Amino acid sequence: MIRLRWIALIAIGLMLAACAHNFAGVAPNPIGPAPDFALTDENGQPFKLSDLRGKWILLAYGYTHCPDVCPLTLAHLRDVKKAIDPTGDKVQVVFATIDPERDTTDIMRQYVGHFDQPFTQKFKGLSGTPQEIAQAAKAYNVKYEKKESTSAGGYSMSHTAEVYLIDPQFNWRMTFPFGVKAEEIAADLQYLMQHPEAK
Amino acid sequence: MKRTGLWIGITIAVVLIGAIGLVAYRYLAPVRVDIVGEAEGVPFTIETIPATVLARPGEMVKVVYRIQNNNLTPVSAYGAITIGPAKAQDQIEVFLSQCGGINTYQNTGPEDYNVMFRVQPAGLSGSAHLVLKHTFTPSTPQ
Repeated sequence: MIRLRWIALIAIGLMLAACAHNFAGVAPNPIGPAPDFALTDENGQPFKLSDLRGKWILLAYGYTHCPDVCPLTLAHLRDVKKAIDPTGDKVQVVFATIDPERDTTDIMRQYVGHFDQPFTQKFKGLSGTPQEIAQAAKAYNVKYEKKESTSAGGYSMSHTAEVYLIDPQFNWRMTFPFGVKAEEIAADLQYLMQHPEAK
Repeated sequence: MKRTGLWIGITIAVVLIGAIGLVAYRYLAPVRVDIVGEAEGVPFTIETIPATVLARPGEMVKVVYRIQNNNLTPVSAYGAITIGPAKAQDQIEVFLSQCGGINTYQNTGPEDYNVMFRVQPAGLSGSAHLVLKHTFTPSTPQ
């Protein structure tokens, strides 16, 4: 009888281990305050990332002439927002440019506008001076460089392609590489909303 | 006669429990991944952090290639990925961390190149020990 109980306990343990939430992102070790930075938003207003304290922030860096990775990333983040918070203001998507030469505040407003149409809460599209953008990128260890090319835009940008998740207490909770599916990011976000202490 | 039947029963039960345990272990146990960095034609010293990782199946893992450019000027390099053993190619999913793929490594100090991946369980026919290798070669921006 006792032996049977042990076998049942081990079986339940194995099942729980198999069912535990596997995060699609990587948590910083240790989890700590998110780096703050100051840029200009899509309406030309001064913006600090910490102004969004109290919301779940999905932050990505890129540029509007990006042919593939950036629009796909924003489309994924739109899908995450649609899945988790379609009508609310709990989840805020933020897209910061690493191409200040071309991405003015007007361009950023138009660009993020392609992705935030379904929502009343609009995406933030951030720009700034080259120095401000360098600081904002450095805060999240984002690397970028200009590459001359024969494309219509004259050059392209190589850059870190990750999404950073920040919780309402303004702690950096997770990093997602490019290629993680929107539903996986949504599942992690949903899990963290329900289990804020999870790592 | 009764005793023989009992022993047969016990033997079958032990074999069955052992087999189930082994299968469960092969599907749930972490997979060992050696992280290797090599420089070919670029003056880099590469440190991998960590050098070995025990990755739980399905878990996203981040490792760092710390690259010291020993040249007097910045060097552009491309990191090509190879997975070992060859039969385990599909057992590891490496994610893109850069848009553009080419990185200029400054000569001012070590730079970190992050790589994120996740592994499939060893399962019945997979490998419990993988090698993730990045070979850095010179690259000319296009």
